[in-house]
Amino acid sequence: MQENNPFSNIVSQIQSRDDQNLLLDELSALKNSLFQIKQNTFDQVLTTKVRQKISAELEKILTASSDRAGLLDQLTKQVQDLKTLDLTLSFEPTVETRQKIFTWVKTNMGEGVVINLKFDPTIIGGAQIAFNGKYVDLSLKKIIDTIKR
Amino acid sequence: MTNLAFIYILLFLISCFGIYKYFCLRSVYLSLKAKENKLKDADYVRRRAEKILENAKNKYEQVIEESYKKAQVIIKDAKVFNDDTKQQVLAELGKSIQTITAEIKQETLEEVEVQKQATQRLVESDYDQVKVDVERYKKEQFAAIDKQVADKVAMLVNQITKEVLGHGIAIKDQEELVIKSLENARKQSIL
Repeated sequence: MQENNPFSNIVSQIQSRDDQNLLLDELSALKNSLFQIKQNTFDQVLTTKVRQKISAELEKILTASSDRAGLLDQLTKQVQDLKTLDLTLSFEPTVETRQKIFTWVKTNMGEGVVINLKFDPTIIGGAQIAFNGKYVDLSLKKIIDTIKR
Repeated sequence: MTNLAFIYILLFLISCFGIYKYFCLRSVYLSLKAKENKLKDADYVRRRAEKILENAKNKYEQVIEESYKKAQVIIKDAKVFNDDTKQQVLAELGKSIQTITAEIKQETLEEVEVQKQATQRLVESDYDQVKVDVERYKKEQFAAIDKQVADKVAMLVNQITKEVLGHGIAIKDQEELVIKSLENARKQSIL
């Protein structure tokens, strides 16, 4: 996948819904800068409005191409088409926890999945999971309620 | 500390609820007791009626007895009859009086018995009906109270469990639970 897809290094950096939205904003700013009359606007936006890791990757791809707008559209579509895994937790996850969850998702589900983390203390523990139109409640609250019934 | 305070507050609320229910049950008990007293009154009325009838019967017998004696005296004193006739009349009168007395006695007894049975039936049917009503009322009240208590206790236990467990799980265990949930979801083909 990485060999065929020039944007794989950028897409693989997206972990959460926030990352996804941020990248889409950056790509939109870059696309708009292409149609500015002022010279070097694109380069300026790339260095000032795009995160360094992303701008470095984009620079490698875009400088070699004459169709920047086309490439940006392709990348935007790829980012928009990422699948979302909705995960509701009972606690606010630390950076380390987020990383663990992301690693698990990447290892077991592969690339192209964005995690949308939500926080609901009433579920006590475990997680409520929604993906691809399916939903399962694996929280402790659900287990306690089931035992009580 | 917060959990402990929360638990104490909940226990206090449970106690208050218990006291409230005790007073509810007590008012139900007093109302049942009042009904029972009314029934006792009905029984007293029945016994009183029987006594009145008994007294009436005795008086009746006494009046007949006295009338017979007076008749005997009048006949004995009468000068128009000879002794044989007097004896014959007295014997006939005695027989008639005895027959009448027996009939009246029988009728009175029957009347008393009928009255007694009617009163008994009335009291019993009232008593049975009231007993059924009281039993039904008791069952309904206890069922409603049981349900209220069970619901309240279940809700409180649920809250306590969630509060205590929610705060008691360490982040590391929480992480583990999340990863296990993801694995379970994968096994269930959700992921």
